[in-house]
Amino acid sequence: MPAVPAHRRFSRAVLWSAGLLLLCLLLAPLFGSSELRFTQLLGLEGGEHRTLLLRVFVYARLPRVLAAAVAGAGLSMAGVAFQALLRNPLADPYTLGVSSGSSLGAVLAIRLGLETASVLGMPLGGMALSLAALLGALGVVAVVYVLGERGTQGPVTLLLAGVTLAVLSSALILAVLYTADFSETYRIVRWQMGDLDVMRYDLVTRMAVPVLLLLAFLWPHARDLNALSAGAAAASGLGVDVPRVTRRVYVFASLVVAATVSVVGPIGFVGLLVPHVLRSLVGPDHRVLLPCAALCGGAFLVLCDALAQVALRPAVLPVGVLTALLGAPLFVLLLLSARLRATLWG
Amino acid sequence: MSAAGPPSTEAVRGDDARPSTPLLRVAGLRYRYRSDRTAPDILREVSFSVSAGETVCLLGENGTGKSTLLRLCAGLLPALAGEISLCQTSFGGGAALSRREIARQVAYLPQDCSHVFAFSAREVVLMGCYARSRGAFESPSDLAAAEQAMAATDVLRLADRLFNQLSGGEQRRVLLAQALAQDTALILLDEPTAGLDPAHSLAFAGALAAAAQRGKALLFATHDLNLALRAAPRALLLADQTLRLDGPTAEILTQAAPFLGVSLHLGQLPNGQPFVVPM
Repeated sequence: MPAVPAHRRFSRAVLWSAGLLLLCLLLAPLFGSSELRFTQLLGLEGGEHRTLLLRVFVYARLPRVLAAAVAGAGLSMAGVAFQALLRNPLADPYTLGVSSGSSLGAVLAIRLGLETASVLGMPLGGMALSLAALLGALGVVAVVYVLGERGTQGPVTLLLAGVTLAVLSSALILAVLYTADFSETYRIVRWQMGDLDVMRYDLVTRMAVPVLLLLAFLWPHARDLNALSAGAAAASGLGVDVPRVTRRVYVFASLVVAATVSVVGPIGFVGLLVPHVLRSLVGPDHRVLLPCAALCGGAFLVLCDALAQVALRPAVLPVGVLTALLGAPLFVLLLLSARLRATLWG
Repeated sequence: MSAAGPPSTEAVRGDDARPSTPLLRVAGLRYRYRSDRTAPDILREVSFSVSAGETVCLLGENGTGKSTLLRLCAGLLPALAGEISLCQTSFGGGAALSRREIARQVAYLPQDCSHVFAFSAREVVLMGCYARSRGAFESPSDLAAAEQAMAATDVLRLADRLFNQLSGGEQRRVLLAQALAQDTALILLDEPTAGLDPAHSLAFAGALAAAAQRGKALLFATHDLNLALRAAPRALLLADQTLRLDGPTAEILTQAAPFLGVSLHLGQLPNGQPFVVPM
């Protein structure tokens, strides 16, 4: 890597990442279960469907694309944060059990039929599901946090507590599934695949606000995260308040993951794959990596969702299935290429 | 974090630093890993001070608390009793200084320091500037300081290689450059030459001498008695959980045999350089 100062690498990388995201945001709304062309939207060819098409564009396609961008950004940034915190490049936003917790919440909501319930005469509807998912995730975060505070091993205690809670939640999910009937089972399994099918602007905002706050919060901690790469003792020696940074980054990143998962379900692989690819492109410096992960993570999920819609047209694949289908081989390729690099250059 | 800086370290640095200026003062230090009464003391009644510009080595058998003492001095562990003060600012029991304020006065190199992510050697050295810089990015003066530090430890030509791909000896010298870039009056090193071959060990001793010439006070734990003899005029010896000997290194080594569990043969090379052979 040539000796380019970090601030120059930052502006360069952020510029092309933003360009990539913008390109995806412009093109992706044209892909869906039916075709849509800019010329149609602008009324340049056969105008009678124009208002209908515009409606499809504004109320169905655009929020869906924006939701994908926001969710991808949040998950990728959280992935970067967890990998830095746990000093493990294989960590992802779900390593510490956030997705299992939210799944448990959602599964219980479906099993108990909370969507048809009403509070104070107000039917809960779809809100019940995401609320339950959010509560489940927050429960796990709270328990892991308390256990992490009690423990003396720092990030290791967090990891152990998180993994244990993930296993526990999964077992509880299986227990609930066992008692569920066929239609409930189908809905539970479907929820866990993650989807962007029904998207509204208010749901986009519900994810966008925490995601933007996360970027604003994490970026000033980028140099702390860099130092943590050398371990807790070395980072402390460099002037990083390790327990405080660990605590704050864990809680904030987890809350954002919880907010995202409660809206779009546990979409996998984004938070693992995007940081990995970006590290080999822009280097490990978190000042550059974090904003790039936000922008490129958004672009990646937008791309995946577009593919999920056209791959088996007119059927629409759940985006979570596609990220895994696409992500797993890509990841293996990446690992192999790393080994290839190692054997070629020692 | 308070905006007020630490007491100026400029006054105690510089080439003609008076040896009487206490930079690090440790008094009546006591430490246990668990605070209950049944836990054994790791260290007790340890008192010494290190002056500006001094190079001191810390000797002792495995498990005598050398690493623990260094970590206490770096403020990474809370002392059970006693007092540690840096540049006349105490940070013993109640953490009066923030991590960042401590890191402006003392640099600490742990025994094993590997990076999970693929940072270049220059990026690793630049991390040393963290405690002092305010912005998100390094200032031109930070970049210049890093460059200077790398020149001092002879790692400039490694600057753009990946830290993890360097040899152990090269990594040690890069980390010493990081400590120099941190621009502290005191540098603590935990077994800096462990696992190094003789050539790298000698090169590291040269880098230590370069650091000492720049007016840094150095306190390093080591099992390499010849390194101690070559690099440090003064030695501290830990045994039985406490500080047993403190004085000129050659003198300490003549009395150290019972505490190290070996007999030591001291000699002099034809060029006048002292050496020691454990037997």
